[in-house]
Amino acid sequence: MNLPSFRQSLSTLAIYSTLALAALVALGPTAWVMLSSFKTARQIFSGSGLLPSPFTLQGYVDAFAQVRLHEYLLNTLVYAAGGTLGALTVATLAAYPLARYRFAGRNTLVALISLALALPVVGLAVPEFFIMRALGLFDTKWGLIIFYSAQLFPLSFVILRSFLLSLPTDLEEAALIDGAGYFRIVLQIIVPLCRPALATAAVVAFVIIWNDFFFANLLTTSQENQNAQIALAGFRSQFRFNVTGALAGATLVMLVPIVVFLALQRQVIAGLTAGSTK
Amino acid sequence: MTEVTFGNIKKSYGSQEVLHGLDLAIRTGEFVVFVGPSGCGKSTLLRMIAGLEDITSGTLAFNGSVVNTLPPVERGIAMVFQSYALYPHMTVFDNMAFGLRLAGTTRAEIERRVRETAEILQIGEYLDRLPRHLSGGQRQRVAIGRAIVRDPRVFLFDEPLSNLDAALRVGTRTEIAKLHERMPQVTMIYVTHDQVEAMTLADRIVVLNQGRIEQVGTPMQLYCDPESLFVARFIGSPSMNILSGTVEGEGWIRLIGGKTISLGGQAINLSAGTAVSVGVRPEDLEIVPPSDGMFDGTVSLVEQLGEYQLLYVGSEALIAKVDGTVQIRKGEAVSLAARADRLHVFAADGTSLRRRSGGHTGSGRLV
Repeated sequence: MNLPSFRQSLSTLAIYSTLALAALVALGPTAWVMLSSFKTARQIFSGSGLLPSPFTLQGYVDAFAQVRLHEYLLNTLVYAAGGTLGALTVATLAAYPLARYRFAGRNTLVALISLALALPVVGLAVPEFFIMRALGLFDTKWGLIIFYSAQLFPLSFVILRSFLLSLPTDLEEAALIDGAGYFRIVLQIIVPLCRPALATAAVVAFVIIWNDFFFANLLTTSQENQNAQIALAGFRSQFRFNVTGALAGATLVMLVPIVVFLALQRQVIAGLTAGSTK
Repeated sequence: MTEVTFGNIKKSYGSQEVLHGLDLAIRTGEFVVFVGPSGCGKSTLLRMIAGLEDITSGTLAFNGSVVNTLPPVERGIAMVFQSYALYPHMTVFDNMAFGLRLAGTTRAEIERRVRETAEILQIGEYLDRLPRHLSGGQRQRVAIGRAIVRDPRVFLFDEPLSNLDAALRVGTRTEIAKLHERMPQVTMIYVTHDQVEAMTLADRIVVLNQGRIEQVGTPMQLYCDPESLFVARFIGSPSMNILSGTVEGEGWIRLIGGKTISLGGQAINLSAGTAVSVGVRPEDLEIVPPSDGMFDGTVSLVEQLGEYQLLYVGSEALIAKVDGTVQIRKGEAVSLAARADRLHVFAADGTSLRRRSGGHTGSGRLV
């Protein structure tokens, strides 16, 4: 073996070792939760064995039968889907004119919307609480959907606008010559062209809303409007710490964003790398 | 049946004026090509006709009515873009039908017109495909088809062949020429930087330079009688040789570092000592015996192209286009001459002096 190729193999080994370690740190706890959700409480506390032995679905049975986790999951789905749809709709309608038209104050407006990304969300807690109460939207599903739409609007806007800036204007001009009006161009030309950016923004928004605990806890009080994150936090008291039930619930809650990401993975990667070539 | 007229058309971006007051009348059914280097304003002008760019001042009229503020769809135009601009998420059929649907055409009529056009352009079998499943040439046909189905009064082409490879470009060019024959009443305006496209397609060529019209004329007028140095250099390939000289006496010019040549009656009214430029096209130069030579020099490069060869002669690299079978080598001394009526004389400001003196066609003499 000559020296350069030996050094090359050594550096490859170092790179792969680092990546493997990073993957272990990132995915290890997730894998542990998923595997442990099929274990008995006794096996979990004894710390013996990585794989479930004996294999049990009792945790899942408890999660559905006792906590009615499916109702909370459905609420979370409504919030995540509704909030994502709301944020993307408003972001599309805002990003298109702010990417294509020149008018006084345009750059200030873009800067202001982008600035909202930098604000710590906790700072919104008190005003949001009072706004929602004043609007009669406190502890309602619509209230949370509207809140999430507003919260995820700046991020979706930034993703969409930067994608739009990289798109040539020829297609819109062709549509204009074909006789299409503003909204038809947005709906029939821009939205289909922006699919990669929309998918990226949708996945990010969906996952953020899905995982939200803070605002769901702040803006809802009744069980019928709470999301799965709050339900998971309640497992401790519900079960007097039923560990398998809690882990089964956590597994189910984690699975949804993973499925959403996998389903839209190709589009998301296209959206993230758009404009990097050509 | 549409005449297109520009009346002192100007275009500015902020304080920067890019088109400086253009006047032009394009007749019904005429095929006019706007040609010029990058940044000359030809595409901007086309986009102003389409209604995609505002007109800063002046008037654009279709059949005498001003259309300055009319939206694109109401101008009765169709445009073929350089990038094809096909809707990537729609099939070929839907791409072609999009405009018709928006215009409220009946489904049966859309079906008939799209299929008929697709047949003409030989894209009938691709109607169900998405643009990404087509080759560059097929996409360009779809783009042309989308324009044709709308039955436009004015057909605009923005460098439609630029994205095609050389072989396809020739094929598509002849198809566009046929298209013009099939639609004799449709006014066609075509933008290109390629002079071969301009020469082969145009009834009249408009040469633009830095936002101004340099010359308007038939291809042969531009080739034979360029009104400026710019047009002389721009039309013709390889481009015209330009040599500097001074007027010696009536109709005689001394070339810098060279001989005194007769212009055969051109520029006879210029006073001695006036600086001029003499232009001669490579194809007008012939190899002659040294005693008859207007331009002498050593061959510094020979480019053999089979049918003809290009000789680069002398330190100023005069290019001569001679028959491919002529035996000549690098380093040989040659003498070149052209008929005096093939010489072009330009004043110091670049304007042609040929017209001013009446374009005499006598034969040149040599001193």
